[in-house]
Amino acid sequence: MAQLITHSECVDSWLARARPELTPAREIDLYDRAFAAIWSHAHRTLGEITLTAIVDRVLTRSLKRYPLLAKVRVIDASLSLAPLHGEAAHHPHNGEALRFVLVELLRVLGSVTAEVLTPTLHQTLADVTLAPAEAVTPSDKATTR
Amino acid sequence: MSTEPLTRLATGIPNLDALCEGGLPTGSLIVLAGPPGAGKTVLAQQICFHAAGPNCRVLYFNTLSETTAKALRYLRQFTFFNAERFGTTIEYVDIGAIVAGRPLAEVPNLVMEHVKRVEPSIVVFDSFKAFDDLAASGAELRKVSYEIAVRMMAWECTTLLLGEFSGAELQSSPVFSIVDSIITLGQREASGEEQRFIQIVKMRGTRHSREAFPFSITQDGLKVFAPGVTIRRDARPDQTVNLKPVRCKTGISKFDQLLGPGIPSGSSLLIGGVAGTGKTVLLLEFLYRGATLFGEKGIIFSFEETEERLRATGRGLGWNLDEQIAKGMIQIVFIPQPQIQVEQDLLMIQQRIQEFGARRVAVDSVSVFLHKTADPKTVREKVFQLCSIIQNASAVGFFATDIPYGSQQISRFGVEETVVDGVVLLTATAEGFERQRYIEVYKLRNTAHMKGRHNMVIGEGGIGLFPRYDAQEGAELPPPSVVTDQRLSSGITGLDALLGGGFLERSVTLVSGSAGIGKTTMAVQFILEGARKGEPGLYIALEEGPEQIVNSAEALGLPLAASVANGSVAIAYLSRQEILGSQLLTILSDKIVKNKVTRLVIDSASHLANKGLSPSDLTQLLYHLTVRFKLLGVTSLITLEAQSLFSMDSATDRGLSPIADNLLFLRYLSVERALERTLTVLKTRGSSHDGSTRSFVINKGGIHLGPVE
Repeated sequence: MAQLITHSECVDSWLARARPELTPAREIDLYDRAFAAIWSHAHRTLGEITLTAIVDRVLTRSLKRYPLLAKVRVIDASLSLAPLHGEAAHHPHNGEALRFVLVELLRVLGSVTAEVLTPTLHQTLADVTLAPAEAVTPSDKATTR
Repeated sequence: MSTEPLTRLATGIPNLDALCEGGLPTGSLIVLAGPPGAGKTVLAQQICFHAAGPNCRVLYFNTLSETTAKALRYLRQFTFFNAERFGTTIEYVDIGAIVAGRPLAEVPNLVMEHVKRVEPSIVVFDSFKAFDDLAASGAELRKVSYEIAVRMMAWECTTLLLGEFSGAELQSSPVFSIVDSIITLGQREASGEEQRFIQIVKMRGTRHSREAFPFSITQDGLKVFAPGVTIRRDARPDQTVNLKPVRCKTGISKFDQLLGPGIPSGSSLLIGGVAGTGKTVLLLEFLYRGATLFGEKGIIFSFEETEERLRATGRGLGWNLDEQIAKGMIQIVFIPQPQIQVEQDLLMIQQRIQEFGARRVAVDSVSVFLHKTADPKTVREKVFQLCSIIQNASAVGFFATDIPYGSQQISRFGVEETVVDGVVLLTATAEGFERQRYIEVYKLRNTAHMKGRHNMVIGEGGIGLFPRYDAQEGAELPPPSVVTDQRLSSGITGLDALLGGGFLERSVTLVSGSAGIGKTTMAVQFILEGARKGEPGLYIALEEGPEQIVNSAEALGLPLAASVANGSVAIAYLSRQEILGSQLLTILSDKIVKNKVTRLVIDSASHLANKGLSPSDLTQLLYHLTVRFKLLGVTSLITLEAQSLFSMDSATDRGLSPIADNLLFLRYLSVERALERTLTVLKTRGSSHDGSTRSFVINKGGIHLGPVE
């Protein structure tokens, strides 16, 4: 439980910095980048088969809690959130579900590696931002939650 | 790098967790290998039922080897089986029928369907070997195995792969390179019997023993016996913080004298001796006295005598052993020789001692307990483990060991004595036509104990010990002096005057006299005079029986019978057995203390010599006797038969005069074809005396001295 809180705190801290007033679509993009960064980093150590198995477990558990994630898949050696764009992007629990997936992914990766990967994964996540060109636009602001 | 220990899954198998630092590493892949009937399934099931709960779900895959229905039918007989867990926290999936006829490559996905549904903490494949038959090639088997391993790892499942894998397969098959642990189960001959063994061949992240340990399967499931690992000797508090050790008094007659300040708590003593030397009696009495005198619980593990026979032994010795057993103070645990399982019994012994709270433990005998063990190293190890059990329980252990007859060893196997804290040897040696028992504290760590052999008897009441007089406390000190201002009357008119006023208190008087001259009469008068004055007397008869002495005295009008009747005089006849073997000193001391004796007669010391004591031994014995009498404040009179009727050339014929404070000579004098009795006071230490020779007669009233001639 202590580790889970740590991962939660890490994610919340990152969100507070990287997700100020984003539109739902931009928020999905932000998570997309986060998963890609984490996948890339963990892949070097764990390899594709292991990482795919881990992500499969994370998605299985997340899906039981958030059925809206049913369309999320591992595509081209990465966790793709593309299917969430469109009408699902405006689902009220989107952000909550994606946060759950991210925390669970960090938790499982940490647990199976005896937390050896945790510090670098946390740092990798902290470095994920949207580029300035993708910053919040006036139109986005109107729909920001 | 994290230094935190791995989280582990407690197996619930007695003693198995101790072999692997507390349990199986969680999330690891573990192979349970062994031939059919080795106990793999029982082991896996026991682990599952122990661990299963709301936060630990179990998924158990049965394959072609054993159907679920069949497995459950046999599983019900075990006490660990809990029907409520079946189908709730433990889910059985019979995939044997499902995968039959389908490509092996589909198995991982099939497995994962159930894993995703159940989200188990433990997954069991029983048996994983069944996949061998489904694999088209070794490569396919490896691929599928790897895939399953990775997925189980990703799901952090502690996974048990059961199979009839041979030793060669475990060594060579690449499948096993992916597993984290390999545990093998098997059966082989050990100590003359077929035994089951379990061995941790490999367990990543765990310091484990590589030994094979015996185990049993009962209705409670598996139980592993690894006393070498599970029985660790705790540090003794008195050795770590320099405390004074708590010591145990045995309560056995005079044995505690031999043991000095007592046996340090936590010690184990080897009680060695050939058959018939009294080992079992000593062990039993150790427990019996502990219970009755000190309120300490005792337990005996007997590999020779049944409980009924031990109870009968107690009854035969006059003990109420049955009552102590009924009161819960003593337990007898009988293990017939054919049923001895050393490793198993060691743990049983440990458990019984702990549960009972025993402070005294007897093992009768370690030589039988370990009789199937040929290797001295193993004997040493097992005795060490026994000692550790005793020490950890802060108890005191007595371990009997049968010494081979005629050997110079002090134990059966010749190694036990190096491990224990003390050794007590019991011997029985032929002396003339008789056999005498002896006891010797050969070794007792951290304890100043009495050295050498000491006489021992077994009879009504149990063991009687007679510490050798030269080894007893104070034996090396000079004797106390006589009391010069206190005199005791001899009871013979006129004799006190010759003595300067009577015998000095605490003095020793040697009465040397010819045969029939009146030594016994003088001794009786001395004792009776004390009785008359309220000074309790003890008459030690070595030649005549008490009845004869009383009758002779009464014939002279000396009221000995009345004094005996009112308790002011006690007459004790000592048998030859009691005179020999250093028993006399102890017996007399006990009687003196018990009767608060102030006057004592030994009639006669000559008899001691006639019973086999050498002159030097007699001198030594009388010396130690008189010293003891003085220490106890007793004024004593010892008669001694002179070999000459007339001569006074030799004071005592035996060189005994130095031990006496007073020397009285009774001799015959030939006067006109008749023998006349005479008395001469030859010596009085610490007093003047009249050295003239006086004639005397014996008639009504005893000895009557005549006038100075």
